[in-house]
Amino acid sequence: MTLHGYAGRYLRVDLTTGHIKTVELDPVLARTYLGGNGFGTRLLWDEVGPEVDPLSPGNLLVLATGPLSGTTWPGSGRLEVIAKSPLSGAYGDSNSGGFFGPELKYAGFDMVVFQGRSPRPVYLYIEDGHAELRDASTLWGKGTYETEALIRQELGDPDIKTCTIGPAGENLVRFACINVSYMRSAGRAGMGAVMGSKLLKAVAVRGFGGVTLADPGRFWELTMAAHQRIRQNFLYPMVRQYGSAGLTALVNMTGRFPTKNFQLGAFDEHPKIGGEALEKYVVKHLACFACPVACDKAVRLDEGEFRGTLTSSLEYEAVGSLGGGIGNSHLESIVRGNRLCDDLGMDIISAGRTISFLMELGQRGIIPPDFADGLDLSWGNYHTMLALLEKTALRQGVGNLLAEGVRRMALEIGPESEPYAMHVKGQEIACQDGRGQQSMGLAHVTSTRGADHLKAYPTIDETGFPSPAVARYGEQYMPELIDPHAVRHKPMIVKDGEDFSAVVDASGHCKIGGTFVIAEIDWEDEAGALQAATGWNITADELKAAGERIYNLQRCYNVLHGLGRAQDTLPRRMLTEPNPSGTGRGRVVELETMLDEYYVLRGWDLKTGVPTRARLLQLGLEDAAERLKL
Amino acid sequence: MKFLAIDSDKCNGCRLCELACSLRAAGTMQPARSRISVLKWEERLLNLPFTCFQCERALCAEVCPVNAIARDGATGALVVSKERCLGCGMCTQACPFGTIALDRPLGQASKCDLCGGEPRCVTICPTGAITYAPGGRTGLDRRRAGAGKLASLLQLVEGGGPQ
Amino acid sequence: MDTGLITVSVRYYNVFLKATGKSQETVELAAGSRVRDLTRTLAGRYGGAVAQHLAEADGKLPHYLRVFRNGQPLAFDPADVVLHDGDELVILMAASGG
Repeated sequence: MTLHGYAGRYLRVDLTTGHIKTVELDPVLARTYLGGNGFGTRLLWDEVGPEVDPLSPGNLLVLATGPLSGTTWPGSGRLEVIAKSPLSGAYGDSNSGGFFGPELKYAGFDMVVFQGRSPRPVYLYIEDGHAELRDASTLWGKGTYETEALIRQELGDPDIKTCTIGPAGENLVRFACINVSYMRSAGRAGMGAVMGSKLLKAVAVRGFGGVTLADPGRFWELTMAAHQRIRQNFLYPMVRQYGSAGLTALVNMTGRFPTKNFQLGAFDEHPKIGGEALEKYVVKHLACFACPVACDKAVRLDEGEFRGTLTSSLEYEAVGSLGGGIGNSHLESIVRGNRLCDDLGMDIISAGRTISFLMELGQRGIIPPDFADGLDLSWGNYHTMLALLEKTALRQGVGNLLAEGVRRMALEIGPESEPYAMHVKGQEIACQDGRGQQSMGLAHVTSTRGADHLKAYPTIDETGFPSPAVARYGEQYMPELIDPHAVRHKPMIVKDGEDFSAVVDASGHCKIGGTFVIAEIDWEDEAGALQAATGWNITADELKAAGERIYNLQRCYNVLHGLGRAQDTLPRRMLTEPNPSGTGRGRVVELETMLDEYYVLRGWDLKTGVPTRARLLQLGLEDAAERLKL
Repeated sequence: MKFLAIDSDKCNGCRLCELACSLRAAGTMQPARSRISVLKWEERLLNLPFTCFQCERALCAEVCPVNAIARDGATGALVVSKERCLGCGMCTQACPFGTIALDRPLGQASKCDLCGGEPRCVTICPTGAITYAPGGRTGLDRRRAGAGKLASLLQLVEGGGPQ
Repeated sequence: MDTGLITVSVRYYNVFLKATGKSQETVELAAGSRVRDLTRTLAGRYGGAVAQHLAEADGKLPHYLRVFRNGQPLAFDPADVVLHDGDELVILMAASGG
């Protein structure tokens, strides 16, 4: 029977033996976990126990799509990557736009599961139902751009889509990313390091098949309605024009722009580096697959110190991490840094945070002036920033320390440095200061992959627009719901956001173009699209349960790795040092109050933060309850 | 008569047109069976949507041994007759632009038929890169502008590698 | 001497910067003017996209508009807020993400 919406098969690749097999997709797994991070979570839970080091052959690396990937549903080009994270040592995933995910489905596979470690550098080539491992020894050591170009050249097809790692992934930099055609990244949680540990340089794919739908006519109608709503959304022109970098001004006004390693919540010089300033370098708006928004901007420097630099996906996070985070107002150096991080294959958020950490330690005299191989650690020294990025990817000199991420850096440098290591569960905090938006403070903590803004993605009180908030959640939560400083109802939107995110990441589409930022697709719309695609009579309530199931299994996986309420915390600065900037001035994250309410909503034990047996049984996770001895 | 006018400068490369087309033409989400393709040259940030020009002198129709390709009176599109087409592929050899292809699962030639007058690629294109424009003088001007762009792009391609 | 006028400075970001072509300017208004008077003055002065972004519906300013005064956010519908001489205003369209 055709499993509409799915390719219906996936690949298992044992890199140790070189053995590749095709496995039929279990329809029950599809309905209960949908795809993407749902499939990946289940695989980690079933196959990668707590004894497995993330960078050992025992870890899995999963590249997964979902039932809406490769369709006209807005932003259906996402690819989900799942593995145990070398940063947290527990659950990890990362999501990328681009064109790889749909191409994989057209080649006949919903996902690829890698295990083991290859004896020599290889890449996997997939084309229309076939897959082969090919020698990558001449590609090893090369940047991601060149790697992609060489693979296309070798196989003689410019339409091949790739996932590649750069030197950072090869050198097991713990926050190495995977770059995805074209100039996109699965940035977070160190997925590139896992790929590097397997000596897997790249995955290349070309497919000429298609995705069938249960009800193509209905799917087309729903799709077009969603596209029309997105195009008419008030944020549409703004996100098209500036991409995420257009946020910079507001985030500064509200004291949520991490400046000098979170010492400040606003950067005086932000107008020099925000979306408005960046616009003069924009040469093209680029869309990911099936995206009506095109938030990605290709930027090029035609003069100055870094002339000739072309880069893309220069996001708000780049402006934050390599700009305000290190007190740097030199925009061209941020463009350069963005290109370097992509080419070397490193997450720009974590990379920027390791540098800002070092600079703060220098400011406080916790490390000696010559600590960084003679590099000047003054705030805003962008030459230092660029040098450290290269050293990190190559693990040269002090870069060998930075490559470990801030948590391990602090362990090495000493306890007096620890309060300035801005991470949760080993993953560096992105460019949102939770002291200026309480829901974000909570979201950083409850994210299953360590500090992260994209799991809960609490946009509703970030902008605070009353009408969308009421439309989504109802009048009864107003006005606190949209007040970024109120803690009331914030656990509710964090939980709802996490569950919806889990479903969106499992279905295979975007959280900016449609669901969270330009928020025109809600639970009902998602259920409608999945019904028309798969033919299931799936309801919004069943979907909510699926999201909760996926999120709870991720939590259980973390519990299995020794994480619980004790680790659900923030760096001391967030809890005790009042934010000195903007409208967030004078505030700290009121974490414990929100956390209690969050656990109650989740049905998790208040003391331990472990899911209760009752809740797990409700979600059909008996095996998790048994394994955790609940 | 109206025709598809393509402004590649406006194209963001999302490929929604390919999906909308393949859904109508083949009933699946399948760019390989779409009658419009976005040709990408990523290093140059170029996206070129490409489909049949509905040529005045249509070589595809001229070479067809069974006269399976004929102009639709209402839309002006050159339409492949399902009843007549043998799938011999002569038309694909004759077309200088490669915009008519053999659809493998169908075993017949496949090309843009302007969706009978409501092109779906136009409906779904979020940027206005593909429009269904009236012919005549304005249309001719726009077609000329498009051709001019194409010519300069070809020069660029022939000019060699990245800057 | 009371001239009956106040002067406020306005800083623009994102769509407003684009539409006005300026990052900052000062605007003279009658004493006692409200935010509505400022937005109408700007809409009249620039027309086009500025007028569109500031267009009122049922007497209310668009809900995506964020106005800050002296670093503090004004309410979501700030039309009736009275302005004072020397106020430093920021006008932008709010977006979320990251």
